[in-house]
Amino acid sequence: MDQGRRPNKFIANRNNKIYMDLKDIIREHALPFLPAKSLFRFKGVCRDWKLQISTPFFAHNQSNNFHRVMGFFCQSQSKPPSFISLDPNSCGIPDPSLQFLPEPVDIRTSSNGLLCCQGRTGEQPYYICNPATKQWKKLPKPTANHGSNPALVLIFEPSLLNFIAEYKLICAFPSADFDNAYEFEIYSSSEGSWTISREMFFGGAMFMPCSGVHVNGIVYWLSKMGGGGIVFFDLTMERTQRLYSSQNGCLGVMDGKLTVTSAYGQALTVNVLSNSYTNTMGMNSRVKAWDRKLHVNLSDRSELGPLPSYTHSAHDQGAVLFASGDVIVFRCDRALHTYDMKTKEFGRLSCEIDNDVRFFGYVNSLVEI
Amino acid sequence: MSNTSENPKPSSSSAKMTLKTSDNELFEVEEAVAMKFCTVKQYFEDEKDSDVAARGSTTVIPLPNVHSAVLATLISYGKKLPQSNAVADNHEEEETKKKERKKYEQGLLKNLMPGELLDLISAANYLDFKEGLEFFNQALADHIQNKSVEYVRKFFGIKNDYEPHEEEKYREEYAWAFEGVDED
Repeated sequence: MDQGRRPNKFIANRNNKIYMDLKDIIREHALPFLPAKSLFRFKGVCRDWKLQISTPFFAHNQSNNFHRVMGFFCQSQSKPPSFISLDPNSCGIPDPSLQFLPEPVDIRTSSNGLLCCQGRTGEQPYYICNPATKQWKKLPKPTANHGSNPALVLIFEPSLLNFIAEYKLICAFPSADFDNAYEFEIYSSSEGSWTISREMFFGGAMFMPCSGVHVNGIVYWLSKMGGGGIVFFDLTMERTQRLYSSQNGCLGVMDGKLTVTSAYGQALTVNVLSNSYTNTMGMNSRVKAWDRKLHVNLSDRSELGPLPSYTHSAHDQGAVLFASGDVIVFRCDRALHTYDMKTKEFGRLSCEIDNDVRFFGYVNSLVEI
Repeated sequence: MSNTSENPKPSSSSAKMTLKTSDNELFEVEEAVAMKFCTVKQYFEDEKDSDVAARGSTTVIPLPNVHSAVLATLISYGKKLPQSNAVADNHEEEETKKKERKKYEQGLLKNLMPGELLDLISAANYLDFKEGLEFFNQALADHIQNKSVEYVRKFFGIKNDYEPHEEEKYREEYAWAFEGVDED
């Protein structure tokens, strides 16, 4: 241990009692900030730590304290899923191809440590699982037909008061009764059942699977056709609408706000929705809905290698695969690069991906379901 | 920073309190900051109740478990926190302050040795300084998160109380947690 540059080291004052208290403090207050892989490893430190880390109460604390996306699941058409970690020593899972589930699955959406996957055969059931603890739960069959590639968003926000993980799964699916319309069916874990919303979306938009995010009770998706842009469903008000804006890119959440991140030309741009009520403001309202949060030039970065010029049209598979919290993941051809918004550093992930890859952020949480 | 006060000061909007550390150094701190140390807050409130005449005079609060270097850091961190009695800022001011605080926090952590983190956590716990406890525990977690079991035992002085065969069995069963590189 460092003996310090200070002449009067506090250690000199330490007696056994205070030192013991420190160990207790660390065990109770520092451990919940660690990702699941580190915690599984540290169960091997001593019996006390194993006991502490194994309790449901600890899992509850950890899921409340540890929120960082430090890994990603990716999956290409009908291949098994794979896992990429930003820090392999501290963030990881025992079974990246999710073989602990009863059947091969397609990952549909993720939220704060939980994954929602769908089976491929028969009734194609939905499963909610925690890939770190290998716990899983099969959801009851929905009422409506969600189609072959449903636009799903899992909503799990850990809360201090909810000891048992409460989550919702919302699916936007093409209406069977009306043309050019979308309906919404929502599963609530606290009720254990599905409900179809009375609210419907008319307007010829197509809700893009794997694009949806949840912010403050509102779920946003990218939409194709009918002018592109962003559509949303407000869970509290039970209202769906198009967000009038010319934004397109990867949806995400930063500092509690909706963001759109795109790679265009030779730069990464992040725009944040600072005023979500501009849709309901008067015609003459001059309030700007979107603020530019970040603009990073990519052209002077030799470590990125030769860059394709990002001129994908708004409707193609974008170059930005993930952009939430402090992390942006974007592709250059088949290579994956990261940008950390806190440290302003670029990185490269040592794996290659297919063009049609579905990409999901993952929090290494111990949450129990 | 040492400052002994001879004359009682009239209480003002920025009332100060004096804290005395284990190495007999005195720190004059604004009441708003000192009140974030709940142990101090409790002591101060007890003092106020017990002696009406003492109100308005400078109280010296003894902190026998906290060293001056540690207290200096905790006070410095406490000052940067949003003050509960501050006037509400507009959105821009709030964003600027947030950025400043993040920059300060990064600078603070860069210059801290891991051992000092333990002292800070111990003191923050004694002072019942919730924000400090959370911040320094998070920093400690960041420091140990990708370390080995052996490092952690050594760092905290924890004795391994597993039997060798128990430990081996655990490492086999959870081999993935001990691996540095993910196998896909």
